[in-house]
Amino acid sequence: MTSQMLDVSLHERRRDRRMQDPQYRAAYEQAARELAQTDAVIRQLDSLRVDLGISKAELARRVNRNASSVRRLFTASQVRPELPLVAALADALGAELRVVPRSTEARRAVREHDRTRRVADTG
Amino acid sequence: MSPRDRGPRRPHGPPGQDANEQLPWSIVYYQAPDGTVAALEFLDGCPGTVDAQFTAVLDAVAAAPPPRFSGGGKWEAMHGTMGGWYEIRLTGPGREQLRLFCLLENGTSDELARRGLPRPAIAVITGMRKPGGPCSPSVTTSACGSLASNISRTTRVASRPERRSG
Repeated sequence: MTSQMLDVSLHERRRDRRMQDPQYRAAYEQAARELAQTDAVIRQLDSLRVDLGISKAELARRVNRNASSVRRLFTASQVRPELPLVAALADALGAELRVVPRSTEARRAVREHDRTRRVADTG
Repeated sequence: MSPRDRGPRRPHGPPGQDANEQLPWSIVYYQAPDGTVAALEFLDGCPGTVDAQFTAVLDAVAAAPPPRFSGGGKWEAMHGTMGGWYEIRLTGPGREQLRLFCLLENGTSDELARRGLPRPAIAVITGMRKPGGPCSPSVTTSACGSLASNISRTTRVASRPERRSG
């Protein structure tokens, strides 16, 4: 038995150190936002499925897919979920996908980011 | 040693089986017996924005570990000869393909304590990059297989990057 726990804080310390670079922080935060959106969509679909008492196999039948493809989707065993499949699953669960604009402030930040990047590209 | 031989793992066990499954996982980096940490060397060599994306995926998966969907579709269970491994797949500048290879350190509290881990962890093993095309499965298998053969049953965790980078 190992009597002393290993130090597992390296990742956090390295990330905190790298986040002091504004470019790194911006890339991290952008990636985190994108990941969170995809994760939320897939988890909401799975939650809807559970609430409706529909098995993954049954859901797959309803969208004319293999059961394994739906199972892989909900357990992150498959990368890059296909939007058509995601839309079909939403429809089969009586739901729909929507794109909701963020706040005015968030959109202003996107425009500012684009402007900064154009200046950097031409400079 | 194959990853499958490295002791019990239960990323897909029934929920509530162990309190550890409800908590965020740790992220640890495999340190070879010679002291090198291939995954950190790989990340340090990546463009900063790519490093940031890998880190964000690791954090997302650690916050909502398997079997939940997380990682935004960039975290994938590998198959075939790489069964038991997970990879993060990113495309960098110039369509460069970048991969980060991981194992899951899961088990009961006692099993984890024997490995020196306070809770389940994503063990980041190594990474690969290839300009303008997919990483060859045979090359991937070879690179990870040679590392896997060196991984002992006791997790080795790098803890002091400051020393390594001087």
